[in-house]
Amino acid sequence: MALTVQQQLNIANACSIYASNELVSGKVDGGLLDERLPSLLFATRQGLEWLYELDPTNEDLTPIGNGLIAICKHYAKAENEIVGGGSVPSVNPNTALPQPIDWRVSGTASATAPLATDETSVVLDGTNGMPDLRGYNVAYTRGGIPQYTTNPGDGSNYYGWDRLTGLFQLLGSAPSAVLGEQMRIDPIS
Amino acid sequence: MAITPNFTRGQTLGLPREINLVDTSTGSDTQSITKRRVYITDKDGNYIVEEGTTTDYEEWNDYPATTTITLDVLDYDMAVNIRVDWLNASNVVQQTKTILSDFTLYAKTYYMFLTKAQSSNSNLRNNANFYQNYIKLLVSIKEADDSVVLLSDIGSSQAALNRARKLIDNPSNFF
Repeated sequence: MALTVQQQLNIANACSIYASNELVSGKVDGGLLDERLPSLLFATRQGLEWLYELDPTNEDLTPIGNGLIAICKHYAKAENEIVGGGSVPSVNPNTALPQPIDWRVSGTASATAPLATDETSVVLDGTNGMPDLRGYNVAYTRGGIPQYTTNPGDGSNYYGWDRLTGLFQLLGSAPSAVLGEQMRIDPIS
Repeated sequence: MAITPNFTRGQTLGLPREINLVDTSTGSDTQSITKRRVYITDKDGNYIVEEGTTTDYEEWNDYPATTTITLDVLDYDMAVNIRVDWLNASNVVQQTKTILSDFTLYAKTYYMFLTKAQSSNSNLRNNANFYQNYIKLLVSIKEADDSVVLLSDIGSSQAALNRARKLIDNPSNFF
């Protein structure tokens, strides 16, 4: 049975206390518990609580609440004692940066060549077969030349990147991708 | 017995420009009150009114039948003093009440947007710049609230709201 928002808030509150205690004791994960976990739980819980107060039927309550519980589940003791079972998504996985995307523009876009001929934008958010680069900054190279995100002002091209939504845009006077052009997107922290 | 004047303040999600006031006065009116006037002042004492209003106040007529009023006055989050006067038909003030309030819906709305984004995307919350400013926004909102509730300090509250505004007005720099 799905948890109510109030149950999610209560669980997150308990997890936050558990996490704080275990962080101090250094018991969890051999002392490798993410130090931010208590504050992350509080911050996420606060966002959910405000939204719930302002609009108890808001459609964003479910994804935020589920995300909050997923963060709680990282914490093993709280998961067993409060939430129970389930997978354990990592709050702070020690993962490397995503691979650079290096391609030559063709007529078809794909995960390894996200912009096709005549296109000027793509959303790199993990949907439509595209990689998910949200949360990272990116460096973009076009024809072997690093590009700016600020308009150079001389009519030449530049690019836009929204790391919240994953929207990548080619900007300038004639920004469209040209058949055969070499492009590269490097995720950076 | 005269009324005990009081009112509540609120905002509606999606309408951060607006302030909703509700008259929650209690007791029996023995002073022939017919209307109210709402004075809103910022931290510098400037009057905040709706566009087109030529007075320092907004009329809140039809007492006691009309208990609510919505004022479209906020271009951004503000800490304000709200004074409501209860007047008789001769415009003589019979009762008055002033409440210091902070209105944070611009910042909270963006904070909730960020919360939704990070709750489903560990890449975001693992980005130090994002996380630091996400928490900074939360702290600024909390500080604005606490400055009002705990300290009755309109200046500190507005300063905190200004810090939050800087964050949400420059998302590409901070998030």
